[in-house]
Amino acid sequence: MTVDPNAPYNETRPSISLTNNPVRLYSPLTQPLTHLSTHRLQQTMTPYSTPDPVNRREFARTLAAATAATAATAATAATAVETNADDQTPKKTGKPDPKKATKPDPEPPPTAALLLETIRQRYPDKRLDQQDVLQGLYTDLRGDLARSRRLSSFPLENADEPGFLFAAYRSDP
Amino acid sequence: MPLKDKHAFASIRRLGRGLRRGDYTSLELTEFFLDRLERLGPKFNAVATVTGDLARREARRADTELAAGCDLGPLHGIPYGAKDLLATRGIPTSWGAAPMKDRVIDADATVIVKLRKAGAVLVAKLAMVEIAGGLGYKQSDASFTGAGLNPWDTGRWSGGSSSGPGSAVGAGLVPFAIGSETWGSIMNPAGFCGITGLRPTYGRVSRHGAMALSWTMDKLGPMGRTADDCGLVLAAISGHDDADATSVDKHLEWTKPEKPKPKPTLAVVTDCDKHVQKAVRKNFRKSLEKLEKFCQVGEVTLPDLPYEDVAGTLISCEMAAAFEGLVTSGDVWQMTAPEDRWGAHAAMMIPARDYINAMRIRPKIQVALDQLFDGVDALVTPTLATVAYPNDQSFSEYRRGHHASRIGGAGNAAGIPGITVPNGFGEGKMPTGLHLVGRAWSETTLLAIAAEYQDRTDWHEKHPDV
Repeated sequence: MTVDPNAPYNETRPSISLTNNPVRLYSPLTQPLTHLSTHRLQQTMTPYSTPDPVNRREFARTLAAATAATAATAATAATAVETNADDQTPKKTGKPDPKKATKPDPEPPPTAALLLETIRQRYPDKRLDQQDVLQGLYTDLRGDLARSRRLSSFPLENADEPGFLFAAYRSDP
Repeated sequence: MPLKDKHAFASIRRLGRGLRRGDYTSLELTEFFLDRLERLGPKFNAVATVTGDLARREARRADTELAAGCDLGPLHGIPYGAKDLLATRGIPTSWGAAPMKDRVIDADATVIVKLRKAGAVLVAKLAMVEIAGGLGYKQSDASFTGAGLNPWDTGRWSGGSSSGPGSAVGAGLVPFAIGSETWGSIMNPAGFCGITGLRPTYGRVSRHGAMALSWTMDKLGPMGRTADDCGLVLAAISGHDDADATSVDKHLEWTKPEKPKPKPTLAVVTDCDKHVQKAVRKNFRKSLEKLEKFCQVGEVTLPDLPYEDVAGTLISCEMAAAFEGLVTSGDVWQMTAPEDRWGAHAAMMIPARDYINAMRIRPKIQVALDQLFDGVDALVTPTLATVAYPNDQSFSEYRRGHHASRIGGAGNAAGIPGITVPNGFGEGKMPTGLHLVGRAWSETTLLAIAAEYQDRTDWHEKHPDV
């Protein structure tokens, strides 16, 4: 199989208006594509550059907060489970605990911290727990997330197909 | 005739003339370069494996064939080196990585086979940055062979990831070498070491038998002393290969130094020399004066598209798929650069949506850049913003405040060709480079312009005292 990179991509694939051609959609969009930001994209000028590294203090604070929040979320979930279990038996009704009522929901951990925890679970290795490794990984994850946001903000039409070509295969001529 | 230092820095055609005149045999030429590789290779950490036995066999065969009147062309009997990501039967192929340093792949890469058919003699597997830099190295010491050291100053980096090809050609240890580029890995070491490097159009050269870092971005290309040398090598290795579905049936012809068409049009990329070192800018402007003698020179602004985000996402995601085994096996912790031991982990978390969006933006980049070449034969910029980085500093530390044009990321994302030629010296008497980028399949045009530039200058004839 050969691929001809000279083949034009869009001449034979006109952009299709989402509103006029809803049939082309694989899933309904909740908002028109015009919501996509067209602001000037933030660029990195050097390959593989990462965002400003997180300093140690900031990183430690973030991880601690993330760990606490994760623990709190887990505790809340566990309490909810227990409560649901308890619900199967009659309970006394009473006044709500004012302390519980005023306690705000814990802030969700930053996405990068959650991804970091996922990495630690999926690729467990105690060497990952070294402070400088965690900090470097966290910086990389923040960079990837920032890049992801920039890619998502690029204005794409529904008809903009990925640039990879695929063909059915048979070994005989 | 005894071979001297001048032969170490001679062009392919000049070496070939001496061979056919009977000044020396291919075996003598091969022994000459083997000696330099053994003696000087360690000084630059340029070599992964010297392939002495194979080289002597191939050289004897070349001598026999040439004596019998069977001339396979300009590369016949000429020694060369290959980046150690090209598989070679019976010889270790390390990919620059400690866990694989003794690994032998029982096959020859298509490029190795094609060069053998052209009569070239493989004298060495050349050092490289581990996993071709795909793990995110941030300083020069990122290979089990040590930091690639620059032949102009061993206190500075040779560039990467084709560090060995850069320093080995620069130091006259091989007449030419095969490097690879996913994003900058030919242009960077060629620019830092003061040699000529060509990144072909994606699909021009088969990658069969080469390490895959990024299936949709990897290219193999020649690194040599002159544009003419690179043309000769590209002519030998280009063309379709059934074993690489992305290779295209577009063979490049390069039998003699081509002359460019009258007054080709070049376009300087706006602001490309704004954030570069002072000497880089000065050399670039002097180069433009030379180019204006035989080219029309205008200016063009690159469309504002997310080149780096697209290229970076594609490379990260494809690398993550290609090398997850390195992470799960734990072998990744044997990498030389500390940051390469965990550099792959974050890429494992990039969602498929980002990869697909990058692939959706990529055709827009291709079309936008192709339109830019309407009436323009080549874009021109400095190759790099600075001279080679000192080995005792991180990359970001030395290049802080400097950046080159975005054409590097753009050109690689689009899969279009580029060439770098030496154009002077900057800080610390280190080489600087001139970069030409063309539309897809325009290598002949780029080579012709670069060859004409080299006819009018002598930067490519300068070499370090090694």
